[in-house]
Amino acid sequence: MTNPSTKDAAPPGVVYDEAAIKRKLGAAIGLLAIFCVTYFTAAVIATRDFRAIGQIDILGMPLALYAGLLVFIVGLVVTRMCLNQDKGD
Amino acid sequence: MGFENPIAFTILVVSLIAVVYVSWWGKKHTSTTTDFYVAGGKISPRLNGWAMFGDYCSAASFLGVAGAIALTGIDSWWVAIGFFGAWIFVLVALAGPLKSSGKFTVADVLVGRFGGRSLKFLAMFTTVVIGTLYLVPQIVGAGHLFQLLLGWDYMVTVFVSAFIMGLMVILGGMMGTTYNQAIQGVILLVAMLLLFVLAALIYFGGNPFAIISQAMTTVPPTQAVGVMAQVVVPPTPEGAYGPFVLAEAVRAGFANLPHALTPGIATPDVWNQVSLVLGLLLGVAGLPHILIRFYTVKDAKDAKKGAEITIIGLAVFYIAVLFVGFATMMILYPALIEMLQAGQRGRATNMAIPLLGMELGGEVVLGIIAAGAMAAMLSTSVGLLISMTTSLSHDVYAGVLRPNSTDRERLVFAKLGAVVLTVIALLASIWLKDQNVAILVAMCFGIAASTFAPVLILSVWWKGLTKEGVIAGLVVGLIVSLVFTFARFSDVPEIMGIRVLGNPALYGVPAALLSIILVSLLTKNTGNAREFLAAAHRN
Repeated sequence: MTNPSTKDAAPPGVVYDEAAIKRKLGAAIGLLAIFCVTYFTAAVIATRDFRAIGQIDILGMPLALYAGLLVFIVGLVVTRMCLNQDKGD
Repeated sequence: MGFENPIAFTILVVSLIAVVYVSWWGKKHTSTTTDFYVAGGKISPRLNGWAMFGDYCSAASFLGVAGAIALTGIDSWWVAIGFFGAWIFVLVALAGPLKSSGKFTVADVLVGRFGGRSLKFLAMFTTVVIGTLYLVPQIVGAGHLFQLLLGWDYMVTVFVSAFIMGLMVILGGMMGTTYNQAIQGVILLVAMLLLFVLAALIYFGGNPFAIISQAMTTVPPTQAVGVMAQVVVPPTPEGAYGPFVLAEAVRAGFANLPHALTPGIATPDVWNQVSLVLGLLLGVAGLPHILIRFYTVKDAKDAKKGAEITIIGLAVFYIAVLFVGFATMMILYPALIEMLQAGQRGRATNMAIPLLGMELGGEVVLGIIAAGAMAAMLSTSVGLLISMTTSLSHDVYAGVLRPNSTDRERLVFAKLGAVVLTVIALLASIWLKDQNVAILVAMCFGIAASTFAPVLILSVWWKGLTKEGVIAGLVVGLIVSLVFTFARFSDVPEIMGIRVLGNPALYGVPAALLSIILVSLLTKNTGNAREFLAAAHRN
C-alpha cells in the first residue's frame, strides 16, 4: 500500500533490493549478537547472584574486571567490522 | 568556589563567555530552518563525532560515575559500560538507515514510511515527553552542583543555568550548538585524562597500574563507614590522616571486608541488573537529541564515521573514569568517609571529582573541572532543547498547524518553543529538586528504550511493519514504561503481581515489541515499505 504523501521516499535511481537488505540485516544481527553476548554476560556475572563467578581470580584480578574491559574491546572491534562492511558494500 | 576561589571562578566564567560567543558566532550561519534544525547537513563527521560525545556525556557521566566508583568500587562502573554499549547498538542497527530515511526529526522516519498526522503528532509528543524529562535532571543536577561549588542559593543556580541554556539555543541553533558541543566534548575528555595523569604522577609514582593494585587492598568507603568506630589509626607526625593512612588502617583491622575491585557488592540482583543494562543498551536508540545529530552530516557513511569517533572517545573516557574513580577513593578517603558519616552520600558522589581536582592542582584544576561539569550539563541540555524545538516547529507547526508558513515564521516558532520548554523544565526542576537525579535519568532511558527504539529499528528493517503496529508500540511502550517508572517513584513493590524494578525496560521493551509485531501481523498498512527501505539502505 502506498501513501500519497510519502511517494517520494526513495530518490530517483534507488531501487528496492530485498536480497541486499536481508544480507545487511544478517550482518547487523551477527555483529550485535557478538556484542550482546559479551555485554550481557559481563553484566550478569557482576550481580550479587552470580558474584562467585565474577570474583574468580585471574592473574590477581577478578574476572568481572576483565569482562568489563572486554566489552570495550569487543565494542571497538564490532565498530570497525561494521565500517569495513560498508566499504565492502 | 566563588569569590573564595577567584582563579577557579574566573576560569568558569571565561568558559561560559566562550560558550555564549560561539553560539552568537553560529547565528551568522543560521538563516533558514534547515540551518537551525540540523546546520544545513553540512557538519563534518569528525566534528559531529566530537559533538555527539559532548552531547552524550552529561554531568552524570562526568561527575556521577567517577564519584560513585570512589564510594562503592567497581560495581558502579557498570552504568558507564552501559552508556558505552548503547552506541554500538546505535551504530550497527540505526545510524546509517536513520540518516538515509529522515531529514530533521524522528517523526520524519515514521512519516516518511507511513504518512499521516497522527504519527507525526504522537512522535512529537513522545519526543517532548522524553526531552523534557531528560532536561529536568540536567537542571536539577546543575543546580545542586553549583549550589555546592559556588555557595549560591539553589533557586539562583537553576535560573542562571536555564537562562544560559535558552540563550544558547535562541542565539545559535544547531551550528553554534555543534561547535559548542564539540569543544565541550574535548574539555570533558581532557579534564578526565588530566585528573588521571596528575593522580598517577603525584600519588602513584607515575604508574597507572599502581592505582589498580592499591585499589585491591582498599575497602570502599561505603563498606568502611560501618566499622569506623573500631578502626585504630596509627598516629602521624602531622597529626592528621595522610591519604592512605586511614585506608590502610581499615584494611589492617578488617581483612575480611571486600576491596574496591570485588564485584557483586553494590550491584542489584540479576533481574534489576538485566533491566538496567537493557534500558541503557536500547535507550540511546530512542533519545531524540542524540538521533538528530545524525541528520547534521551529508550521508549515511558520514553518520557512521561520526559515531565511530564518539565510540572511541567514550571507550577512552569511561576506562579513564574507572582509574580516576579508584584514585579518588584512595586520595580522598578520609574526606569521603567523613561525608558518609555525616549522611551526605549525594554530596560525596557529586563533589568527589571537583575535590580531587582541588587536591591535585589547586584552583586551576578545580576551575577546569567546574568548566567541564558546566560543559557536560550545557551541551546535553542544549542538544535536548534543539531536538524538541525542531520537533515542535517542523512536525507540528509546519507539518500540521501551518503548512504554508514561511521559513522565518517557523524559525520564530522554534525559538519561542525553546523559551517555553526551558520555562517548563525550570518549573519542573524547582518542583523536583529533591528527586534523585540518577532515577530521573534512568527513567528517560527506560522510556526511550520502550518507545522510539523498537519502533525505529523495526521501521528501517522490517517490511511487514504497519502504521497501526507503530502506533500500538509507541502507546503501549509509553504507558507501560511510565506506569512502572512512577510505581518505582511511589515505592510500589508490585503491580498486579509483577515486581517493580529499578528500570522499566525489562517490561516496556517486550511489551512494545509484542504490540508492534502482533498488531502488524493483524493489519495491512505497511506504508510505502519498498521505496522507504530502498532509501534507508542505499549506499
